[in-house]
Amino acid sequence: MRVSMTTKVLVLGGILVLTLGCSNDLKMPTAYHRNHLAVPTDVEASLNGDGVRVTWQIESIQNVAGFVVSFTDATGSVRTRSLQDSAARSLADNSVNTESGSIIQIQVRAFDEDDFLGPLSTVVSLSVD
Amino acid sequence: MIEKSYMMRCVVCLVLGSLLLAAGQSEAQDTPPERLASRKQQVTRSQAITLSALFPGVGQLASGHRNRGTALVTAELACLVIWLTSHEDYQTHSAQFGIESERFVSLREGGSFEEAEESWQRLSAKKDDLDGSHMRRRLFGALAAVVYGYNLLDVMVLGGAEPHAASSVRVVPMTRNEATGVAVVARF
Repeated sequence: MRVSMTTKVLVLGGILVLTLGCSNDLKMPTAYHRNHLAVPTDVEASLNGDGVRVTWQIESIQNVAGFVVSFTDATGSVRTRSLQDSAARSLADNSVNTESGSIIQIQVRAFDEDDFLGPLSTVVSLSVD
Repeated sequence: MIEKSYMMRCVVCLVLGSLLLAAGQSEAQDTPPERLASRKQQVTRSQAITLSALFPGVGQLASGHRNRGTALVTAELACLVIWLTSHEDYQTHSAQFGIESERFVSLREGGSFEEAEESWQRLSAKKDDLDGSHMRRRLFGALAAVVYGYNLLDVMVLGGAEPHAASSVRVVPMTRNEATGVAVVARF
C-alpha cells in the first residue's frame, strides 16, 4: 500500500492549519491607561504679579479627581502643584521663579482617585521679560 | 533554566545516538570472514517494529532501509530538538510576560500614563515573542507526532520492516588454509 503525495500534502496542510489556528492561552491585560483620563487642553500661562497664573480646559472629567500642574525652569528643576478638585480650571502660584530673563515650561495633567496620573498636556513656555 | 534545557537536549541526543549505534551495529561490523558465507538478516520483522516504536527510523535502519531510516531519524530528531527549544523559550517568555503584566497592573495605583504606556509596549513585544514560541512549539510537536505515526505506518504496512534486498559487490579479505587472498562477494 502506498500513500499518495496528495494525501501526504493534505495531511501536512491540515496539521499546519490546526497548529496555526490554536491560539495562545495567555492574553494581554486590559489597557486601563488609555482613554481613562482626558488630556487637559487650551493650557495658557501668564504672569500674575509676582507669580504665574495657569488656565486650562478638559473635554471630560470622567474619572478625574483633580489636576497636577508642573513648572519646569531653565535648570530642569520641576515643581508641581496639585488641585483636589475636578472642577478646577485655573491655578495661581507665587512660588515659581519669575526673575527677569527666566523661562518656565508648564504642563497640566489630570489624576484619578487612585492617584494615577493621566497624559500630559502640551508644553506651554512662559518667558519672563 | 537554560542549563537544565541544555542538559535535557544532551541527554536526548546521547540516548538517540546510542539507539542509532545499536541499530546500525549489525550493519557496521565488518568481521573478516574465514570462508565465503551469505549474510543473513539479523533483525526480524517484529524486532524492526519494536525498534521503530522506540524511535522512528531505527527499525528501518536495522532492516537495511538506510535512506528511509536515516530520513525518519533525522526528521524526528530535528522536530524534537526544535520542539524542546521552543518549549523552553515559551516557558521563559511566559514567566517574563507574567512579571511585566504584574508591573503593568501595579501602575494602576500611583503610576503615570507614560509609565503604563511603556510597560504596555514591552508587554506587546513579549506577547509577540510568546505567540511565536507557542506556534513553533505546537507545529514541531505536531510534526514529530506525524513523523512517528508515519514511521509506524511504514514499518507495519508499507514494508519498512522487510529486509532490503540491495545488491552490492565488494571485495573482502579471505584466509583459506595456507593461502591468503581476496574474494569478490555479491549480495542479492
